[in-house]
Parts: sequence; structure tokens; C-alpha cells
Amino acid sequence: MLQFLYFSFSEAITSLWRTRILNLLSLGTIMFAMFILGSFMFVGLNLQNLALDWQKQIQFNIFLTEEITEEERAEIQAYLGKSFFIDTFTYLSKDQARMRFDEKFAAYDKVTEGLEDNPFPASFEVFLLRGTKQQTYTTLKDELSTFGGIEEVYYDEEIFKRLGMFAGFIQMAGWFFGVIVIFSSIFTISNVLKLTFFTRREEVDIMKLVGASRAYIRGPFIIEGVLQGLLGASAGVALVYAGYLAVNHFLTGNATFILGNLEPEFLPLQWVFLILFAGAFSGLLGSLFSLHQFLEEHISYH
Amino acid sequence: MIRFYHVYQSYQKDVFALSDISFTINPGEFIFLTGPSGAGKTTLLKLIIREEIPKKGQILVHGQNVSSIPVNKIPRLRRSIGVVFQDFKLIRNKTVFENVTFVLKTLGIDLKERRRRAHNVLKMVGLQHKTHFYPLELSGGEQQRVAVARAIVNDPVLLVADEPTGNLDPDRAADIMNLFEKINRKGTTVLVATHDRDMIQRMRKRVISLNAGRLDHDSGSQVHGEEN
Ligand SMILES: Nc1ncnc2c1ncn2[C@@H]1O[C@H](COP(=O)(O)OP(=O)(O)O)[C@@H](O)[C@H]1O
Ligand SMILES: [Mg+2]
Repeated sequence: MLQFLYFSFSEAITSLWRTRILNLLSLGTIMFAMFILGSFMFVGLNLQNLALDWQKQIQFNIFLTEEITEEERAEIQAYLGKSFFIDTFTYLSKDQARMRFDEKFAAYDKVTEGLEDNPFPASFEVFLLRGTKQQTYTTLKDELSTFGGIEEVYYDEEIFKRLGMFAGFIQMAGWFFGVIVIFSSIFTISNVLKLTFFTRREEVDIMKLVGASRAYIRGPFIIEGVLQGLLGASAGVALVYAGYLAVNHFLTGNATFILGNLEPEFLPLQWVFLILFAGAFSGLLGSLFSLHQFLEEHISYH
Repeated sequence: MIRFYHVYQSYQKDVFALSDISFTINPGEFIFLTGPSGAGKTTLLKLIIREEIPKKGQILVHGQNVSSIPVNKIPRLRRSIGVVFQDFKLIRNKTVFENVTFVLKTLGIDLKERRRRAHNVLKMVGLQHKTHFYPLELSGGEQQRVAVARAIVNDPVLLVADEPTGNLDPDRAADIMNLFEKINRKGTTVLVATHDRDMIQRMRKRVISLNAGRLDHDSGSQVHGEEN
């Protein structure tokens, strides 16, 4: 077994190197296909991040009544402190609320100037963890409404509708194009490999005629296909990484008014492995298909 | 060793490349297979290594019926036969050394031993200085001698050569024939297809001649071993 693996690898590597000019064709194809696949994943991932970032900005406000007691306030605070889903929360007293309004809307300071009483309620401003489901917001709201001293619990439900639609769209488009990209890459790659291996039909025939057994003919070809797939996919991932660096550079150098302060994220390691696997897999398919034709159709063993 | 029993082969309907061929070759014999081009010599050799299957008749090689041996036994059969193909059949992107020792490598024979054996056989055919050349960097005659070296490197029980001197000048041709005789003396059965009448006459061996696919003449076995 070890001898067989040694044989297959050494023959495959020698052959990859000897026919490198021809191999550039299949390598380039694999690289291109995996670059497309990788870029696609990269864009999808970051759109999703963008959606999550928007969601993080959703404010969850608990407006308190004028008559709230110290204990009631402490109870709410304790509850918020214990909750697993809450990222941060701050208490905003009536005065702070008014001050903030004045700061934010300095142009309208005439509006509040004349007012003797402070009309702004005290409140808790809560931010939930990134990616928290809408259901959690609802549950939280329901639970809080059993507490005393609360006037109203409010968050923008509309945003969820829009985000949900956006995320659903990304996901659907992701599946749709992802499947298309994966299948067409595998198809293209295995066809190109078949084409390049086809030029070696004569070699396979000779091996058969001088008495090499089937496994020893197949082994190197299969390893060669897999190695080619892996190499091409690695080059494709490297290209995506280069693209990521370029995007990163562009975003840090420019005002990022639409994207907020989003930092693009590179593909997680599992996805990189997925791409490498797709490359290797299509290489494997390509060599298997062509071998099937060589071995079974031409100078036969039958 | 080899037995043909009413063998027919055809590539097109009713046109026979071989028809009704019967003969027996005993172990240790040296035989010339002759006849004008198109007589069916190459076809006969292809049947022996099971590159093709006859349309009719039986062929025994080493006691095995080649038409019915299991597929996974074919490589072993072919390895026991050293073949010099008429068109050499060298692998283009392998060096002389790699071509000669490819099968040995599949058998797990280590590099040192492969080098030793390659050196031996390449010396026998006078090509030890071209070990790392590629086939296309060699002349036709040199390629033919590489094919001879590959055929004998694994000490075959049977050596089959299809016009192995066709591209060689007379001196080289004589060298190769001497080499075949030497191998034959060590016990290997040798079957050489050729249309070189002079050589056949010089060598005084058993001759099987074909004409238009029929067995024209068989000078008869000179070795009297038991039939196989
Ligand atoms: N693959 C083939 N397809 C069709 N006809 C063939 C094929 N191989 C050989 N023949 C025919 O069979 C006959 C014998 O050919 P061959 O065995 O090559 O003769 P030789 O080797 O004696 O010159 C010839 O008429 C040749 O045209
Ligand atoms: Mg011929």
C-alpha cells in the first residue's frame, strides 16, 4: 500500500511537472472557477455581516413612568443585567434625555426652552447581541411588560421586516448561484482535465501493453487530477485573498458612508477548505472520467 | 508454451488477417515468424499478448487460454512476456531509464535495483550513455534498441519481437540477434517476426512463414520437449 502510494505520488508529480505547459490550461481553469466561487462566497458573507451590523443598531427602549419607584427601577436593571441576549444597556434619566435632545437638535432648542416641565421620560437604552432573532425581542418585550414602572417597551419592528427580506434574498441568491457556480466549476474542470488527459491516451495504452496493472495506471492519474485541483483551488483562494486585501485597502482609504464602519471579513477557514475540497473533487472526477474511457474503451483488458 | 489451435482473426467481415493458424512452440525455442508485409505477423503477436482476441480458435500461452483468462490476470501475463513492438511504443514524456524500468517500478523494485538492471540491459543494446534522453531525442534505431532493452529487463519467460531490426543497420541488427540468442540460451523462448530473409538463413532456426493470413510453411520444432 505504502509502495503504491509512493509510486502514484512520484509518478503524478513527475508528470505534472513534465507536462506543465499543458497543465497550465487546466490549472488556470480551476483557478478561475474557484476564484469565482470564492469571490461569490466572500461577497455573500460580507453582505450578511452588513445586515447583522445594521441590526445591531436597533435600539430597544424601555420608557419608564413618572411614578417609578427606586425598587422597581432596580428590579428592571437586575433583570437586564441577567439577560443572556443583552449586549449593553444604559440608563437615561429625564434630564439626560432632555440634554441629549437639545444636543442633537440644537436648531430646535426654542421648542424646549419655554417648557417648565421636562416632557422626556427616563428610559433604559438596550442593545441586544448581534444576530439576535426577532422572537427574542418579542419575548423580552412581553416579559418586561409584567414589570411595574414601565410605560412602554419599544423597538422598530419594521427594520426586522426589511432585514428579514434582505437576508432571505441574500440566502436564496446564495443558494441559487452557489449551486450553479459549484456545478459549472466541477463540470468545466473535469472536462478540461479530460481534454488534457486525452492527449495521454497513448501513454496509458503503452502502460497496459507492457503489463502495468490497472491500479498502477489509475493511481498516478487520480493523484495528478486531485493535485491539480488542489493547486488550482489554492491559486483561486489566493486570488480571492488578494481581492480582499484590495477591498480592505479601498475601504480604509475612503469615506465609508454607505457601509458604515464595516470591515470586510475574509472567508473563514472552513469555507477555504470547502473551496479546496471542491477543486480536489472536480480534479478527481475529471481524472476518473477520462480514465474510465481510456481503460475500458481502448486496448481493453477484456 | 504457446499453442495456436485453428485460430482466425479478422478486422472486417469475411476478410481474414489470419485464418486457420495452428502451431506449437515449445519452451526454449527460437523461432522466426516471416512472411511479406500484410501477411499477419503483427496480428499473430497481438493475439499472444492478448492485445486482441481471436474471432475463432484457441490460443494457449503458458498453459492459459488467453481468450478466457480473467481480466485481472492479463497484466501478469503481459509481464511474463517481453515485447518489442514494431512501432516501439515508448512513452514520450518518460526518459529512456523510466521507459525501461516503468514496470519494475510498479512492482515495487527500488531505485537502486532498477538502476542496476537498466544499466545492464542498456549496455547490452549499446545505449548506456543515453539513459536520461527522451525518446524523441533518439534516432529510430536507438528507440528500437530502447524497446529491446525494455523487453528483456524483467527476465521474461517469452520474448516476442516484431521486426526488431527493421530500423537498424546490418551490424547493429546482427548485435541484436546475437543478444536474442544469448537470452535464448539462458532459457527464454524467443519469437521474432521479420521479413529479413538473409538473417533468417544465417541464423538457421525454426521458421514459421505466413502468407496472406495463412500458415505457409513451418520448418518444424528443433527442440523436442513435451508439448505444452
Ligand atoms: N487494426 C486493423 N484494422 C484493420 N485491418 C488491420 C488491422 N491490423 C491489421 N490489419 C490488416 O490485417 C492484415 C495483417 O496485418 P499485419 O498483421 O499488420 O501484417 P504484418 O505484420 O505481417 O505486416 C493486413 O491486411 C492489415 O491491413
Ligand atoms: Mg507487422
